[in-house]
Amino acid sequence: MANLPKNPKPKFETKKRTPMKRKIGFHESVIEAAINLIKENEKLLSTHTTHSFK
Amino acid sequence: MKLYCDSSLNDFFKSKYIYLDNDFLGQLFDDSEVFVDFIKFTLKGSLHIDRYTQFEFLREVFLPQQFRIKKEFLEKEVFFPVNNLYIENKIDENALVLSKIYGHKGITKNTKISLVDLFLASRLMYQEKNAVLITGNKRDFPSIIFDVITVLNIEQKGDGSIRSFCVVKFNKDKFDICYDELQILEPKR
Repeated sequence: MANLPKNPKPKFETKKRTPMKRKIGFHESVIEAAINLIKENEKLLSTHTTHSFK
Repeated sequence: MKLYCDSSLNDFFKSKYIYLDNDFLGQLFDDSEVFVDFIKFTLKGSLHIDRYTQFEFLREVFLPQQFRIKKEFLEKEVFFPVNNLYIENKIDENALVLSKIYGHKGITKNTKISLVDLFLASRLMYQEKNAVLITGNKRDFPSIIFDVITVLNIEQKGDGSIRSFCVVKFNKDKFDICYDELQILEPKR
């Protein structure tokens, strides 16, 4: 019994970090690129039936 | 379709690390309108995809074109990387503590909480001051430790039904109570 491992001590971030700031204007180009990928995926799925995936 | 949520969310997300669970990430990826609506609300915070969530998002995608699209989507600068190896061992240790508490409290009596959700919970715990998670599976983030801050509702494509997603946050006070109860079980020396 004496050699049982103890519960690990909970770990918390000691210093509150501030999230990285996005570059101004990032959303015009980056979001548009992400949206294009979503649409590309939609198009891909619409041209394949479940059967054709196999 | 459409995202319905509290308009004050914009301010709540300010300077927050916003982690996305795989089910919510899938919703964003499925619907460009919802994606755009959501991004507008999170411009003051930063979006993060945990390494295990990334794995979940890509697993079982066997169509090469779709794999490429999904991978490129994750790599877009919309999401900030989570690759701080220094904290990963701390995340592992927290996950073990949380799993013990879940077991002690009977949370996992009927249904196991997945490994991915355990590590996500552990990351929220480590960054307890300013991290939140958006998930469709509240059950995997039990109320004995986590608080629901708000709920996002998303109208689904097709049948128009509404699916709810919770914004959850680690509550250190709740955790401390559970951890103290766990310590009672420690053998006396």
